[in-house]
Amino acid sequence: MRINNAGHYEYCRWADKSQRGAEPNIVDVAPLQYFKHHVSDIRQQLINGQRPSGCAECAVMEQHGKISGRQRQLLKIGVRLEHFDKSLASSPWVPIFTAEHCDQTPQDWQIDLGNYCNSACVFCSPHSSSRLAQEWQRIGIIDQLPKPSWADDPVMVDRLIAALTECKHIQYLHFIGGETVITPAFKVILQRLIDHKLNVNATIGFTTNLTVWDQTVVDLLTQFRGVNLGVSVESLDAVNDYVRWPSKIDQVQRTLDRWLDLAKQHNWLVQLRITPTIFTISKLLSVYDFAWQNQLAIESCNFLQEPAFMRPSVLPVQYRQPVINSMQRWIDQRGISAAPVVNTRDPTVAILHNVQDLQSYVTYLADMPDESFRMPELVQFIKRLEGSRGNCVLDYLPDYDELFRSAGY
Amino acid sequence: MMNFLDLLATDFKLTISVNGTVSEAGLLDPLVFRETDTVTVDGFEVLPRYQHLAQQGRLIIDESFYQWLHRVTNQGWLLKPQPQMYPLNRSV
Repeated sequence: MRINNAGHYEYCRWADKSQRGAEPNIVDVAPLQYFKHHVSDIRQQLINGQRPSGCAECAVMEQHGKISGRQRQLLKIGVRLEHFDKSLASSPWVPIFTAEHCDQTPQDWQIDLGNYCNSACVFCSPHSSSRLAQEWQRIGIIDQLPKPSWADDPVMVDRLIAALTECKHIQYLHFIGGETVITPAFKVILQRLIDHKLNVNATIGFTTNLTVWDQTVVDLLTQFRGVNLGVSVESLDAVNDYVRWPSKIDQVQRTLDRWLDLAKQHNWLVQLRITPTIFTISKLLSVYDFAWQNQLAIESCNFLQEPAFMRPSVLPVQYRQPVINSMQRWIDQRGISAAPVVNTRDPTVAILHNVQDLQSYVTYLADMPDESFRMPELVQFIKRLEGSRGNCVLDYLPDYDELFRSAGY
Repeated sequence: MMNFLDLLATDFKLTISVNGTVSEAGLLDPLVFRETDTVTVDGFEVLPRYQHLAQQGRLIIDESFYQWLHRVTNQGWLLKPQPQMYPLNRSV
């Protein structure tokens, strides 16, 4: 389950974004109460063979051969789609799923700590970046800043810690922000988990934007059973500066190297986290090259849905073909067939997984309908943003000069 | 289309081939093979592929085959139900 930045629960960390905010909030309902009672409707829908509407994004991922959140979560209970019936019937979770009442406690949580962030990535939202929120307010895109995060309230953090201490079998806690490393609640929660000795069995997952470093956080993390470190980078090209504004690729690269050294020292699992957009889809291979050289896995949660005008599918078909060709060439040159890798966190098959993931982008670009009718909306948006930032997309993507200008740039 | 409960009411069998002789076993049955056998289970090669897991001349699969397969193919950690709350009851 998940607690999102606004403090609302979500029955699945992958569930459709449009439904966020519909579930109870940690302010009103204790975490375990939500898990045991409020999720029962969803459990019943699944048992009855229905597909909850929140599962739509996973369906799109599977359609294009990308490993979905559904597949990843099923894997944790031993269920594989390719032999679904028998692997499900073999799972020790069967009696739990069919029990009338759930008295289990969560073992795998995603906890969103609010929008405390020093970056203002172009595809981000005010709910996930305080810096972007301030900028959007200043240039009139939004009137009001998002409400303060639940994690800024020590009483709510206490409520979470109280729930976690009841979860003696907690296996995995994934934190996101904002930028987790500089979010005060991240440090507080890590320390409290250690105080309650939950660090002995728990693995911590988090994602950092490669612009910050906090040695106190690092020292806390090293006390956990394991760490899954996600490092966000869109390209090792200068276009990363435009997309993950105001980062600078040289500093990002240095911070990346520092995290990689630390991860190697402590045997942490590292994944390069990407969010491909129309800006970066043609520059993705620099990340795949880096991953190939360093034997790292690349993970993107899904195909970007919002903002719709930044989807890679907004790229007109004639601009897609060179990208498809270069991606396919990259795959073919490696001579690796895209074997189905569902366990994306097995470092021994990271390269196989990357090939599979890149192949899903080839399929996506080849199959997705042309959404270039969204270009004028994109141009209108970035002109407003660039007026505030003093940058210019064509300095980073000169090949798209005609594309952007014909849409009003 | 089967729903969850229909699926669980199905009496699934494993199809086992040992040196070309095909038989069936229950889905959750423990399995024992001689390490020199050529074995597939539901089409997955078990021996000689996993011969290195045999001990004293035998490969013993003493958990459900699909949980074993998950482990030996490195599919990652398996979350386990909290045992003090629900003793495993496979009769549902």
